[in-house]
Amino acid sequence: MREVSLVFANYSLFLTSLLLLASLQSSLWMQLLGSFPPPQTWVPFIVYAALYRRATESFVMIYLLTLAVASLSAIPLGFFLLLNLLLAGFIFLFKERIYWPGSTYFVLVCGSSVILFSVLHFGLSWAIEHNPARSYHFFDWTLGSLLTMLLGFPLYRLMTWFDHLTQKELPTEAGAQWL
Amino acid sequence: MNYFTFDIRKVLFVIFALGIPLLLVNLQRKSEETLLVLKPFTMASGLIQKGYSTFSAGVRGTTGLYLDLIDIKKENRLLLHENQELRAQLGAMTELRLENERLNNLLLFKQRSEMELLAARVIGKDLLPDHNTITINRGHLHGVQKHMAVITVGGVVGYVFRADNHTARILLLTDRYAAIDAIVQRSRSRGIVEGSGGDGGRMRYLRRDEDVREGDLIVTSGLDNIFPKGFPVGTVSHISKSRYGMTQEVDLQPVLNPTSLEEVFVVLNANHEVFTMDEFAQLTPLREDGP
Repeated sequence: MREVSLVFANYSLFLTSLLLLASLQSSLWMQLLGSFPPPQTWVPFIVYAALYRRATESFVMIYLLTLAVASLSAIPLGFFLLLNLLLAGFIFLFKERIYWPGSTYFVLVCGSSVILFSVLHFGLSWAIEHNPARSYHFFDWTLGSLLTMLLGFPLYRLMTWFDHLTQKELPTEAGAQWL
Repeated sequence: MNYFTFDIRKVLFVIFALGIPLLLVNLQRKSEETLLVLKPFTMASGLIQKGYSTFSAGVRGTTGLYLDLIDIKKENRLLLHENQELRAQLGAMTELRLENERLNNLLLFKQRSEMELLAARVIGKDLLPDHNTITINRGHLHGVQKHMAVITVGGVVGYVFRADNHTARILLLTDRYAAIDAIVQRSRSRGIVEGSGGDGGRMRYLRRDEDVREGDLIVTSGLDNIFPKGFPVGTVSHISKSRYGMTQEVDLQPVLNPTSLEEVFVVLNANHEVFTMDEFAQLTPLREDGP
């Protein structure tokens, strides 16, 4: 029973902080800085789930995280979910080959994931959408990636603190605990 | 002792010693002129005094300058602070003036229009940079429903694609998922306006023999009473016809930049209002650059 409560607390903390940050990105950022590209605040959560959770758990977590933020965008839920799962898949594959513990790795993967997400979005849009994406927002992607990396450092500390608080153990070796 | 025995040298010395000052006193009383004998001393003392005076003035000047500098620095700091406050006030006043102008325009538009309009403020935008949506501070509780049109004084903004109790999300005209039934104002040719994902849009399903030219104004068709009829959407910027296709594709530039809006109108009921350009100009007398 205690374990279930801890898992529930862990998920609640992640979802609450994700909602707070994603709302800040889509509302407060615009009011303060206008159309200046914001950091993609939800990406570090997906990256964290992909890097520091077992595959099955990360799958569940990505589902929940996507559900939480899908309402803040016009992107269809299924498409968003597909993109996030693909992104997590790429992160898994990358983690199997190159991995070192610590915040630097997390931050670098966050920055790359913003670019990768945008490229995947663009590519999949051409593959399955009726009116595919035609504009490349390179400036937004690049700046968003850099800002997300900056945000990655405090978020890594926050998320590891959440895990510590809810007595969650982090996998230590890349790819060692798939299931 | 013989009192009348004199040493003549002593007598002469006494007479000389007393006589000269007496003579000088006497001479001084008679004339206002400086004695010749005093002139070198007077001159020397005058020069010295002048020197002191110059030195003193210099010291006072330097000290005064230093004290003034301290005062000036303080004063400068105060003035800078005051200047910053005034600038901030000016900024706030300009912001208020612009907001007042915008709201005034919206109010005039609402009063003169036959449509049932609900004013709303933009409070957010899309999470992803590849989509163009905004969030407004009006929802179900204020009468907002899915698919309702969103306009502003300058033209079409988009339509509601998701409505909650207190907020609603608007799919902007420029978003890839947006589709609005429209006509070319001059020739009345009909097509569907779709967003391009950037800051423009395209008119599709326009037959290749339909009359459309660059610069033509695209307006809403008014079908389904969602948008008012004849409301500006954009102007034609480029036309392309494929060799064998049945339709032509028309690129268009929206009449306003929907991503920079702060206030919009949700059309609760268009009341079948039809706009001609003259009526539109009358309804929006104060419109210049923005909404």
